[in-house]
Amino acid sequence: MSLAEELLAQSRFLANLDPHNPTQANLRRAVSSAYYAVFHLFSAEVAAQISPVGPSGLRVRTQRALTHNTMYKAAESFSQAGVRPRNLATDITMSGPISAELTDIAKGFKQLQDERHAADYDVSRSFDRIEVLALVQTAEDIFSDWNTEKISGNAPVFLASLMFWQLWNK
Amino acid sequence: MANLSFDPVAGEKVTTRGHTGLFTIDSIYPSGHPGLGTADLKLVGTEHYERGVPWSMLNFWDETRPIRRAIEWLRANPVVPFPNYVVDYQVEARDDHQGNPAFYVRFFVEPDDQPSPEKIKGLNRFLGSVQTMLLSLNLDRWPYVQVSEKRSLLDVAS
Repeated sequence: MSLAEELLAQSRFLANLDPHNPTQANLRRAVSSAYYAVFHLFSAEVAAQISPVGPSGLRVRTQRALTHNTMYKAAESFSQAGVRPRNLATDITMSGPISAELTDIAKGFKQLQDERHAADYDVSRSFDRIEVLALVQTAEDIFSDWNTEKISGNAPVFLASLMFWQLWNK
Repeated sequence: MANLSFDPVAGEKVTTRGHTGLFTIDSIYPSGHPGLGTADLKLVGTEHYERGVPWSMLNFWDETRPIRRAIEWLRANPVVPFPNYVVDYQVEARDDHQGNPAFYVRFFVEPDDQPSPEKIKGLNRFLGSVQTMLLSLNLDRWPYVQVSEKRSLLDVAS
């Protein structure tokens, strides 16, 4: 099981603990794990796309270079179906319109990142189980949608965007 | 969404260029062309009127009005059916964690300690459809769509 898959399973486990009186700590960690499951899913995919397996350490170091902020901005740009991502350099060819799966992935990623920030830092916020289960489901749907989308012609553009979006738009 | 209207209505609070203070829309005069018309405004707390102000000059006090209009339109036009356990919603305009302008739409649902996976999937389909519709409006704030149990409100109130 990959780290991303372990985090996804952990988020589901934590969200279902204490059926009638869930603790804020477990619910918040569930949200955080759901986001990081998706973060590591894509950071591993990006690194695999742009970096060879060897020499040792290169791919892991590449994976470590991804930033939340760039991924957030790239995700926002892929969030509307049927259109070319806003601000995508015109010399990059898309294989077709952005699919419904890819827009759902992008929207879900952005939502999870915002919720993760609240879960980890906003002590004024109170999470309840249904919202956390909905967020865990969002993460699970992203994994499922990515299985469909990753063989598409637009998948390499999306993955590269997660790493280079801000450099491309300097 | 052909009949989704963002036209002003009487009672809304606005400011307008060239005039100090907050006004209430007193009367509306549509021109017959979509989005065009004039309004008579009453300065809050006074009997002072500004008459015949073009709609394009109105700045709405409630930043969340386009979201509220859209959600009320959705309720009336079942393009995205509201699940029967959705009982209320609230809208907030603020920045997200990256400091970018956002709308936070939170739907409140009936409490359920052990919602079924099917219910959660259906709920997510609903939230996703609402967000897709709001994104299609090309607003200047990103629409985050969230859910909470109704009792959270009661907890806060108590």
